Amino acid sequence: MRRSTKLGITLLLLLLLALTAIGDYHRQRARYADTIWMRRTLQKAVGLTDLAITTAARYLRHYTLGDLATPFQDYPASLDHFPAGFVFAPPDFSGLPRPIKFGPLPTAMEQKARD
Amino acid sequence: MEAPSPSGSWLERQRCIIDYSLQSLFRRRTKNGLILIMYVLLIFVVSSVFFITGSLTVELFSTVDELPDITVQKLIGGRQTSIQESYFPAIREIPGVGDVQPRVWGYFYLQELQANFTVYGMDLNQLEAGDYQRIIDWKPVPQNTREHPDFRMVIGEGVYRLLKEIQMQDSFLFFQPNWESAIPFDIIGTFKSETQLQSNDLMVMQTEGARRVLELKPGDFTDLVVHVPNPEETEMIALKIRRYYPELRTVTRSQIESTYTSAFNWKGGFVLSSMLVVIFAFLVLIWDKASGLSPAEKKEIGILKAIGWDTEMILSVKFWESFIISFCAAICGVILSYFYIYWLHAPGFKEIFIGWSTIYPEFKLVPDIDIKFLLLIVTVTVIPYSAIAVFPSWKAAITDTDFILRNN
Repeated sequence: MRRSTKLGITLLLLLLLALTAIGDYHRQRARYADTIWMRRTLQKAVGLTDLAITTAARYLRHYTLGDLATPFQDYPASLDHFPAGFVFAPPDFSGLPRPIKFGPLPTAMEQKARD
Repeated sequence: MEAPSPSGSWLERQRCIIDYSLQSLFRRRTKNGLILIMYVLLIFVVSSVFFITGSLTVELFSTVDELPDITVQKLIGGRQTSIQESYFPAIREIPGVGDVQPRVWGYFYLQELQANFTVYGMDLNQLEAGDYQRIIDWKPVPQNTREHPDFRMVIGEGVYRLLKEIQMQDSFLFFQPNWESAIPFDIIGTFKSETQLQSNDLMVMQTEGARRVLELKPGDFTDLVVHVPNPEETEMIALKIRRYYPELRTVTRSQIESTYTSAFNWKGGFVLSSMLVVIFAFLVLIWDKASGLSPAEKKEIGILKAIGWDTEMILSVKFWESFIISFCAAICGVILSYFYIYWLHAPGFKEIFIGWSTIYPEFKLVPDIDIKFLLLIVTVTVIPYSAIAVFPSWKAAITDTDFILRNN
């Protein structure tokens, strides 16, 4: 058998595997509709954020609700000692209170520009 | 090798060249085998990182519409503290606010199991009605539950598994050393496994019970959620709350969405560090290819030229050699990572996300693959490698044959 034929057979086998993966992808996506309904219903009842993939620290479990100080609770600028801490990028802290400014209330547009 | 048929078509010509390329690859099978394995590993790691982070982001976003419009927390000294009832009326009076609801929730750390549970207080009767009851596997309610309706709870699958190990799956005793006595809570149901990505560490209990466990004083709440019927007004109302009460922090749904978006993207430490390692390894691979041919390879090109092959054919041979390796590696790497993440549920990989947690889900993630990502993987791996491998061969092929043969 020519080597190119063998290569063709190998590629055919890879294609078959890829088709299995694609079939599985669609099967799992179809099954997902029911799961997503259940999770939405749970979210409606319990309005907590984030996924329960890690419960090592409270700011990792609900890291969108964590405040600036939580990852540094031992001392300022201390490194996060939880190994799962490094998989997350820093959350959006734009909702934290800032120094009080006197004067007229900024418009929504001004605030957006400032954020 | 069988003699090729005398057909001189372009296809047959390419097939003969591929035959020769494969023979040439097999002649240096150890080196090429190692390159193939490394290549597959590289693509496997990149695809796995993107598959898992892509799926997690999709899972995060799947329920984002059900989140409260504004969550209000009270901060003292930069840390969150409980919020008092006195804030509610003023916030409720802000024009555009639909409803304000206080929440009682927090964490309970069980030292013996080193487990961190999320305790959430609500009216459990709500869960027994309508759609909600379909997300819970209800258990037969013990007789004495009626005597203590506040001390019952519905728990997540992860909590149930953990409590089963200590044989407390029917009733769990909450206890802290500073408490006078332990509080027994009846477990009246578990959240179905489909919801485990959110409910795995949850203990949902009657509000008064949760207040006891979390040691919240009467009139104190963990945070409050503000419902705003008109989404256009959310930012403005959040701003007003912060202006009226500078000690309060607001987290709007759009902020949560922006955190969700950036949580696992390329700026995230995990993705970035995996990418840096992989990019470096890929550069070494490319560098090895581009830095030149071995004397034996140069001699081979010299001989081919001497027996009448033209430069174009030699380049075709080299192109096919590197294309076959990189293309097979790309397909193998992507398929392997698919089965690894979505069939085997990422053993070894999920531990990075889990960290030191004792309660963690099974990582049954929904596949979410962007076709653009697959094209990107093929483009950034196959094309540079195929192109760069041709360059040193081209240099050798345009050099005088006599010079190559005499100098190697």
